[in-house]
Amino acid sequence: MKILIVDDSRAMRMIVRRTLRQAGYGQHDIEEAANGREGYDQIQAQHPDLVLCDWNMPEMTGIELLQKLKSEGNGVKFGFVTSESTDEMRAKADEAGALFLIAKPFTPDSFKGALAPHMS
Amino acid sequence: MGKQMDLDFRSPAEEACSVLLGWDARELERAPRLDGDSPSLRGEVGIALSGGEMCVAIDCLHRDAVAIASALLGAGDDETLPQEDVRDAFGELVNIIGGNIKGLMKEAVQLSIPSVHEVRSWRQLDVDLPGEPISQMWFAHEDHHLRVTVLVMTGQLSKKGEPT
Repeated sequence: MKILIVDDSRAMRMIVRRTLRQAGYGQHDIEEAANGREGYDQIQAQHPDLVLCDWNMPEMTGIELLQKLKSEGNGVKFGFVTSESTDEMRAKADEAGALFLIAKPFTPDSFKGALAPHMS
Repeated sequence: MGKQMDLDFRSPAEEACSVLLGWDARELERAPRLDGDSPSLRGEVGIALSGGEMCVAIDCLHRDAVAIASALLGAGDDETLPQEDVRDAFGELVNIIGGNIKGLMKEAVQLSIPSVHEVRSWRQLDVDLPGEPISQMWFAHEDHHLRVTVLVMTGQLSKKGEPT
């Protein structure tokens, strides 16, 4: 599978990458983008199977990215990895078509629990 | 704004330090004695509320920010991290603690993008608070220290940390 990590923090992209490895997903092809706009371009160009996206980013937020993809009929599997995880945000993510929302700080187990149903 | 003062701001900081850094960060009863001349970092993140704005400011000595970045990025003891990585990693810690503090506030609407700035001395941070503090906590892990301050904004930061 091809996985795209979208986060404006290079440190967090590294941590997500490491956590994917620790959760047993290190064999997948992992790419990175530094904001929603860059993520959108990479999704168009590289057609990842799964997008792990931060919520709060400059240029284009995670929810704006997901809404744009959905409005264009792009059904890429999409989940949030974010420091905010209120019920309201979870509902908003769900409504927009996100498969899961992983709250930061996270563990390899929280990645396994969220990703396992979607990694086939 | 008064109801914010009763919230448990300690847990988000302790949890972030524990899960993210592997630190057993304990809240200190009193402020430690730090070298006032040491270079230091402040990270800030704004929290827009339905009726005002708050800010979470996190301060530490530069050497502690390096330790935070090393722990976060899994860097080896002999590895020298670029300053950009130190700032980025510290900003992410600020973002996570700020985001989790926002989650405690029912009136919270939006979290800003975190900002990090460096100052020449710790002393400068003491006189440069961006708002009115309602809570200030010190955390320590081994000889590393972190100060977390929750403030009510007085109008200055809202322009700098514009929510997106």
